[in-house]
Amino acid sequence: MSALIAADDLRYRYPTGFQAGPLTFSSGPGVVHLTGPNGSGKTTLLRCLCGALRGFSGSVRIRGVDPREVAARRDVALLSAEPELPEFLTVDEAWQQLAAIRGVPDWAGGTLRDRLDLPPGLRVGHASAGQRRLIELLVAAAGDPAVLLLDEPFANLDPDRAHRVRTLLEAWRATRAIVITSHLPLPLQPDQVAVTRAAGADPA
Amino acid sequence: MALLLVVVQLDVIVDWTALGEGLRALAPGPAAVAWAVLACAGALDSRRFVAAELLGPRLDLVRRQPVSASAAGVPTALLLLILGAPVAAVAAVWYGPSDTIAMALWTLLGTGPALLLGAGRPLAAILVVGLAMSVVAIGQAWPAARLPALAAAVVGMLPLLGAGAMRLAPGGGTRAQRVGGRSTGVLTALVRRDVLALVRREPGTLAALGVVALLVGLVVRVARVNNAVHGMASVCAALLALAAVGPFVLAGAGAAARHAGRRFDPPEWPVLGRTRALALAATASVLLLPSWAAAAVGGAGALGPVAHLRVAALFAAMVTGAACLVAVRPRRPDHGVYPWWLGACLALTMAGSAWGPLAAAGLAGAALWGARAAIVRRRR
Repeated sequence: MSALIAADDLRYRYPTGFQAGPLTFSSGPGVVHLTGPNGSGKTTLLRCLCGALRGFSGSVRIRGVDPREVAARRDVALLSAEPELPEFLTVDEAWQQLAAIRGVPDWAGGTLRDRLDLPPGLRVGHASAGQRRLIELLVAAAGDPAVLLLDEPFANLDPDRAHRVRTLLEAWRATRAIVITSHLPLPLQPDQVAVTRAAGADPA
Repeated sequence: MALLLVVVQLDVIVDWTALGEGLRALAPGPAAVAWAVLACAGALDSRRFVAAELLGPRLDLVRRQPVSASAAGVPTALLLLILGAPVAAVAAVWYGPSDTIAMALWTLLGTGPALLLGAGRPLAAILVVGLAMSVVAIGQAWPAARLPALAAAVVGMLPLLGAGAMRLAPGGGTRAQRVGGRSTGVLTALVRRDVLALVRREPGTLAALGVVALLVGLVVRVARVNNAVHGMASVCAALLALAAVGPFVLAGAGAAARHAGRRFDPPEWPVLGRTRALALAATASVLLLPSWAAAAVGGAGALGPVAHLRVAALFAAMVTGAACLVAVRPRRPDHGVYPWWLGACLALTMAGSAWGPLAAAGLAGAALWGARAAIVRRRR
């Protein structure tokens, strides 16, 4: 079976000279822990893996396809560390939009929403920081992408919610490749650990 | 709401009774072409419902059989005849209950092309329409040959219908739809999000657009009544009034993009640049549509089909121009450039010759291309 996600000598160089990477790994279903010190370019590499940053060198493949192509981006989702969802959307509207964009408008997101204990009509702008994190996770999972790239998914979560997310990821790891960035140990056992290092000046 | 406005618009533009009489009076060849166009439009409109809801689940049994496309065509055609009974009833009202050939033709035309378009086989749909129209033409020229012609056409359609039925995915919809990536679904999702942003965050802008639409209708009406104007004067009133709405449309489209924040167009989403550009233009259309409908209602009777085409050309140029400016600078579209764009489009659409509106339509295409290029450039 071919890898769900593979990166070979992935590097991204900012105009300032800062370089994130190199990163090489390959994964089928399971959890990959992408770790490294603060400022080592974990988020940058994650954005390269999903095709959000396109000027990288090396190679990235999502189910054998370059993420710079639309076909590959249907299979990969990114959970950013920063909140990004528009505040005027409700929980259901947010995941329904992403499911439609990924071509699965009849995706049953209501079940997952209930598991995360999110009210369907809650506006993103009215949610607490922890709830917002869960909404972003729900939206990232909309349409069942095969590869999930999660940037600090446990940030801002209380122990109960962190446990819910951990249980969810444990259930998903059998069928999806989940890449999690964190400079701290993960609350679940990773199948692989990939370490990043950086060279050059700070990206900021 | 948008559909209702389009219906109002069409109702104002088209004299349905005269159209029906005109179609009946046509020679066999043109009549066949006219009916073919109407059948294709109807099929395009209903293809998703027919494929996903009406036929998809009912054709599961046929699809599971190890039979050829021609053999599958027989039960498929029977199913189409049964499900299309309401269409046949309409034909019975139109032609009389004794004309079973017309009823069969109407039913096949009402359901066959929709099935084939829903299954992603547009060429087969065109072929089916062509076969049916040949029957119409032959029937008008030689009434005695209608039945044999219908029989031959149905035999010719069977493999096409069978192949279309086989292409529908289990549970309805095409396989491509199941795999994902329907650009129309993406388009709808993006436009819906943009409209929600306006409804929840910019109700004042929407209310202003409503008031402006009323004023547009009033201005066109006054121009018509005062002047007893026909021809270009009424058209110019409609064009000028519509162009005056432009800044509101650009402000609305820009506000929708601003409220979406980084989610305006995340580069990691599986959305083509042209789809995003079209979605922007569609959002702008939603904002301009009430004014267009108001202008059509205000100018009812004075604006002929050619005038409506001029207005449509300006409409297209306005919404694509707004889309392009928002695509270039989503948070702060250039309100200084837009009046120049509006002026150029106005000058072209108000020109006496037919080339002006055509050039405006060309500008609309160029603006859409520019919007797509700006979106693709920003993603790099």
